[in-house]
Amino acid sequence: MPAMKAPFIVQLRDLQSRFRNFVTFFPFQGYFLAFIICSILGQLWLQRQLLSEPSAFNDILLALNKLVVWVVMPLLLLGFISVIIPYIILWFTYRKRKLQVSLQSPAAQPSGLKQELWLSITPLLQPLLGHLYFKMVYDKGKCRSPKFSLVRKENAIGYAGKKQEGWYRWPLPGIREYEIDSMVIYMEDFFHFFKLALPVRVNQSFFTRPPARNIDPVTLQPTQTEQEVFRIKDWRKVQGEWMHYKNFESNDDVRRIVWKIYARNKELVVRTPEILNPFASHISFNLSFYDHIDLAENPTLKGVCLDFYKSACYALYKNLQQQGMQIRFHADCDIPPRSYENEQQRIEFAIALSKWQNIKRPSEWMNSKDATVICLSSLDNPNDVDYFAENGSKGLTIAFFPLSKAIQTPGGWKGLEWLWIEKEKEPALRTNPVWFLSSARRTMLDNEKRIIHQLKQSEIRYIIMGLDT
Amino acid sequence: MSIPRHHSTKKEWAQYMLLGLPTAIWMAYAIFLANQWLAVLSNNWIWQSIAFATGLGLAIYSFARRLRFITLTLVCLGLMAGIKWAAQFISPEEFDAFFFVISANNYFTLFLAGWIAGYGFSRSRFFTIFWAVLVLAVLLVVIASITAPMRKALIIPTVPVLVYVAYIIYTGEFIRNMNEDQSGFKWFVARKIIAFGILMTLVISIALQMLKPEWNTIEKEWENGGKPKEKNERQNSLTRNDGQGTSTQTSMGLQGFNNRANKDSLLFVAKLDNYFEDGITPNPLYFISDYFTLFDSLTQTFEIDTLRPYNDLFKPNLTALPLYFPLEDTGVLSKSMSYLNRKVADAEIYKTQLSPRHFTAPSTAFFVQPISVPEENKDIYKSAYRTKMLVSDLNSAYFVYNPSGDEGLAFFQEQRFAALRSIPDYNEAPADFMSYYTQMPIGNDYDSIRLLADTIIKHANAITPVDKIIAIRNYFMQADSTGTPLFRYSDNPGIPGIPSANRLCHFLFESKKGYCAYYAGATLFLLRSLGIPSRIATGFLTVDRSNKNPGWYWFYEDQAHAWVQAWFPGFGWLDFDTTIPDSESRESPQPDQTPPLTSQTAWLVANGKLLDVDTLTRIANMRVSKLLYWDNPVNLPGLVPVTMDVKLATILRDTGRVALSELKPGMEIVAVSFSEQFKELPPVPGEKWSALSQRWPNPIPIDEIKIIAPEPEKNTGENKEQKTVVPWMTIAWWGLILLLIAGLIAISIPYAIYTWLAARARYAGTLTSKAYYSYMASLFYLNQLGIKKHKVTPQQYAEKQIDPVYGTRLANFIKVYQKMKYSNHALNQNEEKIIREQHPAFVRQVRKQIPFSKRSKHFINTGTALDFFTQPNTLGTGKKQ
Repeated sequence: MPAMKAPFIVQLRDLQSRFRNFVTFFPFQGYFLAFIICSILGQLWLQRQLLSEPSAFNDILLALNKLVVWVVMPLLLLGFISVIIPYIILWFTYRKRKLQVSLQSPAAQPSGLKQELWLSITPLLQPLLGHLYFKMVYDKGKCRSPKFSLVRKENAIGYAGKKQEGWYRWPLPGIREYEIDSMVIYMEDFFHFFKLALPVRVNQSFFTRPPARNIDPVTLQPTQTEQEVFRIKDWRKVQGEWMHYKNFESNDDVRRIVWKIYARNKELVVRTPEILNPFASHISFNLSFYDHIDLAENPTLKGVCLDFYKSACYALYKNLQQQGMQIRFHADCDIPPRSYENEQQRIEFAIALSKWQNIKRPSEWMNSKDATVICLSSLDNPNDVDYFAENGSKGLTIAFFPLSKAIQTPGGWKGLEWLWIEKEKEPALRTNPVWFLSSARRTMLDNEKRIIHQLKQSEIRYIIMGLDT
Repeated sequence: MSIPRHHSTKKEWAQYMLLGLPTAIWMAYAIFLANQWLAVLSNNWIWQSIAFATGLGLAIYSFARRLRFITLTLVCLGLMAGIKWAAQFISPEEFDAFFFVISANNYFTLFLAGWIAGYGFSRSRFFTIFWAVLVLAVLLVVIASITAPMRKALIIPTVPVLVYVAYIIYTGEFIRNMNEDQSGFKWFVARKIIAFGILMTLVISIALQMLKPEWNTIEKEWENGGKPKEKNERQNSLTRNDGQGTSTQTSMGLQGFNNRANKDSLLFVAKLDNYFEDGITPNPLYFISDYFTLFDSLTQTFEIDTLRPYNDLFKPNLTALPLYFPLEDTGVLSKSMSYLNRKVADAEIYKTQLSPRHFTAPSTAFFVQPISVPEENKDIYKSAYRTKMLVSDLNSAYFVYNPSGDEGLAFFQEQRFAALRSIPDYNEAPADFMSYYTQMPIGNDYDSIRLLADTIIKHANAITPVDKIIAIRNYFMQADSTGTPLFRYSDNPGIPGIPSANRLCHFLFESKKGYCAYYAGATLFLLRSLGIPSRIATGFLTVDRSNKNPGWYWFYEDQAHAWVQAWFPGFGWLDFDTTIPDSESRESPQPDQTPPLTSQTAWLVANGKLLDVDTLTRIANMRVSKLLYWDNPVNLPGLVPVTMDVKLATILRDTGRVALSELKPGMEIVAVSFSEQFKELPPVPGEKWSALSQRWPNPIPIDEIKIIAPEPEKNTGENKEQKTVVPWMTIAWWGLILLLIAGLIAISIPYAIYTWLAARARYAGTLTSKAYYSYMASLFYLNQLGIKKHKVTPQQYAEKQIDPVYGTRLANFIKVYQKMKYSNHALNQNEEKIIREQHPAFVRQVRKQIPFSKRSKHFINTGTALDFFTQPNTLGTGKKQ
C-alpha cells in the first residue's frame, strides 16, 4: 500500500522543526550575520567617501579603517576560540559519559505558570568572558523552553570553574505535566556572535500548579454528613448497670473485651459503640471536565480555555480552603498513583493533569446527594443542570465557569488600549482572531447560554464565576 | 489601570545605566564637537545633548512599559507640527517665529534621534549592530576629515569611538540575555564589563603597537617632505595637500572655512608666451585647474561633473607621462566651440609645492610635455612641463580682473565688451549644451536669486548677454550713498544663524561678504537664471609682478582662485571675475628668485624598463620601448637593450631628487641625455635603429633619470586607491563559491562517514574489528535513515524496530556481537559466518524497503549524523575487545 502523504500543515511543521534544528546548531548567531552585513555596507560607504585624488583624508581614513579591522578581527578570533575550546572539552566529556547533569524540580514551587528548576552540570567550562545558556526540550522534542542562563549563588558570580549550577524560573505555557527529554547547552562568546550547541539527555518531569488567583469569598455550607464514632470514655454511672457495655457473647470479638472491668469484677464485657448524631462535616467539591459538544480538540479550548477553567476552579477550591472548610475533592480524571507530599499536592496534580473528556458525564459519576459544589464549564451538558436540580441536596451549589471569559474580546476601550499599549505575548492573554470567527466559539457560546438559562430556570443555588449571580 | 511591563525594573535600569548613559555621554561629546567644528548647531550643545538624552531615556521608559512606539512617535510628530503651526500666531515678528521653529526643529530632531536610538536598543538586537557600525563609519570619516595626520592626534578621538562601539555591541546583547532573577546584579555586571574592558584595552594596545610604523609613515608623509606642518594647515579653502604637494580642491563647499592662505607658499612659476600685439607687453592669463558645473543644494557644495557635456578640459596625468614624451588631445578644442579671436600660446610650468600630478594651464590647453628642470634649479623646482593652448584674445587677465573702481582698467575692458556685444542671444547654441550649463536648483531660495537677477538687469537696462554680465559685476561693485561698498571681501564670511539656511542667499541678501567661491557661486546662479551658460573655473589668479623677467609669473598659494566663465557663441568660454578685491590683503612677496632661464636640449630621451644597475660602476641597463632623438621619435624594432653610464645622472622622482640606490630593476624610467656628444651626431633621415645605435657612444652618457614607477612606500594616490579598493564583487563570488563548497562538503559528510565505516567493516583484518565496524556501520546507517534508537538496548532496538519492519537479521548479529564482546566463549563457525556476512546483507535488505530518494534525502542531513556522535556511548561504541 503506498504511503499516505502527510498533509501540508504537517509538512510545514516538519520543515519548521528542521529549520529550528538547523538554527540551533548553526554556529553563527543572527547578531553576527547582522554585524557582517552592516560591516560590508559600512565598508562600501567608506570606500565611496574616499576622494578620487590622493589626500591626507584618504590615508587617514584607510589607516583608521585598518585599525578597526585589526581590533575587530582579533576580538572575533578570540571570541571563537573562547567558545570552541570548552565546547570540544564538553563534547569529549559527554561522549565519555563523564558529564554529570542533575536537574531537580524542588517541591516548593513559585505560584503561577513558573517552574523552578535546579540545574547542576559537572564538568562544564564557561567560555572565557563568554556565556553559557541552556534550553530544555520537552514533549518528545516538540517543544523548547526559551534560552536561559542560570541564576547562580551570589558568591559564585564570575568564572564558576568546572561546575555550573544554579536555578532557573521557567515560565511555562500551560497548566499540565511536562516531561523534559533533553537539554541543549549553548556556549556563546562575549559578543554573542558565535554559538555552539550540544544536546544532552536528561529525564525529568513535573507539573505546573494552577496560579493562585484571588476571588471574592464564596459562602457555602458543608453538606456532606459524617458519622463519627466516638470512643466512650465515661464509666458506669449507675450501680448494677453497665451503660454502653454488654456481656461478652460467643460471637463477639475478643479484642473488644474491656479487660479493666474484668480485672475489677471478673466479668467479661464488651464495649457497645455509640453512634452520635450525624452532622454536616465536609464540602464535597466536584469538578467536571466533561465535553458535551465535542470541541475538546479545538486548540483554543484545549489551551487557553482549559487553563482558565483549571485556574478558576482552583481559585474556588483555595477560597473555600482558606475559609477553613474541610474539602473532599472529586474530579473526573484518573490521577496516577504517586506519592504526594500532602492532599494539596494531590489535588493540584489532579487539576494539572485534567483534560476535556466526553466519557464521564457528571450526572453519572457525581454523587448529587452528597455534593456541595459542582464545577461546570461551558462545555457541559445543560440537561445535567436539571438533573442536579432535581436530584441534588438542598445545599448543592453549581459553580459555572463560562469559558467565554477566558479570552478577552477586542474592541471598545480595549482596542483603544491596543493602540497605546503592546499586549503581553503570553498565550493566556493573547487574543486570537481565528477563534473569534470560528464556529466552535459560536457553538460553545450557545451551549454556555443554555446552561445559564437552565441555571436561572432551576431553583438550584448557583454561582457564575465572573458574572453576577 | 496597571501597565504591563516588558521586563523587570532591574533590566530597565540596566538599559538606562549601561546603554542609555554611555550613549548620551558619547552623543554629548559628538554634539560638542559638531558645535565646535561645524558651527551649525547654534552653540548650544548642552541643551541639544539633553534633548537627545531625554528622547533616549523616554524611549527606554516607554518600551519597558509596553507603550507603542509608532503611536507615540506619531504623537510627537503631530506635536511638533502643531508647535510650528502655532508659532506663527504666537510670535509677534515673522523672523522670531521662524527662528523659534527652526530652533525647535533642531531640538526635536535630536530628541527624535534619541527616541529612535532608545527604542532601537530596547526592541531590536540588530539595531545595536546597525547603530554601532553607523557611528563607527561616520566618525571615522569625521575624524579623518578634521584631525591632523598625526598619530597621537588620531588615536585620541578614535580609541574612545572603538571602545564605545565594541562596548555597545557587547552590552546590548548582554542585557538582552541577562537573567532577571540574578541577585547581586550590579557586581555581576561590573565584573563582566571590567573583564571586557581589560580585553579591549589589550587588543587595542596591541593593534596600535602593530600599526605604529604605518601610522608613523603617514605622519611623516604628510609633513610634506619635512616641511613644517602648519604650512599644510594654513591652506586656502580652494587648495589641499594631495600628499605630494598642493592641489586645488575637487569640491568647493560654501562653508565657514578660514580662507587665510599661506602667502609665502610658492606653488609654481610659469613662463607664458602670450603677449599683446606689441609683442613686448606680457598678456597674463588665468590658469585653470578644473571646472565646477554642478551644485548640490543639500550640502551647498559645487561639484566637478566628470560626465559633463562639451567637456573641453585637458587633464593629463603628469606622473604617468615619461619625460619629454608629449601628449596631445585636440578633441577638447572642438568641444570648446570657439573659433574667434583665438591663437595658440605656449607655457612652461615649473613646480615647487604644486602637486607633481596637478596640471594647470590657461584655457584651452591641448598639449603637454613633461620636461627636465635645469640642473641648477633642481633644488627649487621638483618638476616641470611644457604646454600649449588655444587662447582667446578676450581672455587677458586685464579683461578678467574686477576693476573695482579702477577707471583705467574699466576703460580697457570696454574693448572686450564691445566685441562681445555682437552676440545678441543664444538661439544658435546647442540645446543640450544650454540645458546643462543653465540649470539651477529649484526652490524658494533660488527663486529669490532669479528675482534679484531680473531686478539687476532691469535697473541696468541690459539686453545683450555681455551687458547682463557687466550689470551683475557692477551689482557686486556698487556702493551706498556714503560710498561704502555694498559687498566686501572676507575670508570669514560667517554662516547663517539658522542651520541649513541657504548660504548663497545669506551672502547675497544679508551678510554681503565672502570670498571668491561666494562671488563665483552667486554670479553663476545669477547668470544661469538669466539663461547665460556659465560655469565656475578654479585655478590660479595671475598677477604680473615681475619687471625683470617679462612673461614669467609667480603663483603663491593665496592666488588659488575661483571665478566664472560664461560662454559666447564663436568666442567660447570667457573668464569673468566678480570677486571684490581684498582691501586688507597683503601682496604676495615680489619674486626674488631667478626663474629657470637656462635651457638645455635633451638630445636623447629613452623610455623603458630598467634591467639592472651597478651602483659601484654606475652602469645601468634598460630595455627601451620608446625613444626620442633630437626631438624626433625613433622607430625601434621592438624592445631594445641599452647600456647607460649614469655616473653624472641625477635620479628624480616626482617629489624631487633621490639616490641612485632608489633605482630598482623592473622600474619604468625615462633616461635623458644632454650630452654634447649627441649634438655632434645628428640623425640621418631613413636611418635604422641598428645603424643609429652603432654611432652612439657605449655606454650612453645619461644626465637625468626620472622614475615613473611609484615609490615603494610613498605610493601615489591612484595606486593607493587600486591597493585599497576592495573588490567586493569578487569577494562575494568567492564567498558564494566557498559557501557552496562548504555546503557540499557538509551534506556529503554523513555518506563519507558511512562509507568509511562500511569500508572498515569490509576490509577489517580481525573478526573482532569486523564485528565492531559492521555493528557501527549498521547502526549509523539506520540512524541516518531516521530510525533512531530511543532509550532501548541494541537488542530491543533490533528485535522490535528493525527486523520486523525490514526483514533483516540484525538481532542475530547483535546477539553474536555481544557474545563476542562480553563472553569468554569462542564463536562457532556459524556465528563467525553471521559476522562476516552481516553488513552487506543487512544493507541490501534495508535498501529494498527504503526507496533511493528517501535514502538520499536522509543521507544529506548532517544534523542526524552529528546526533549519532553526540549521544553518550550507549550504542555500544565503547572499547573494542
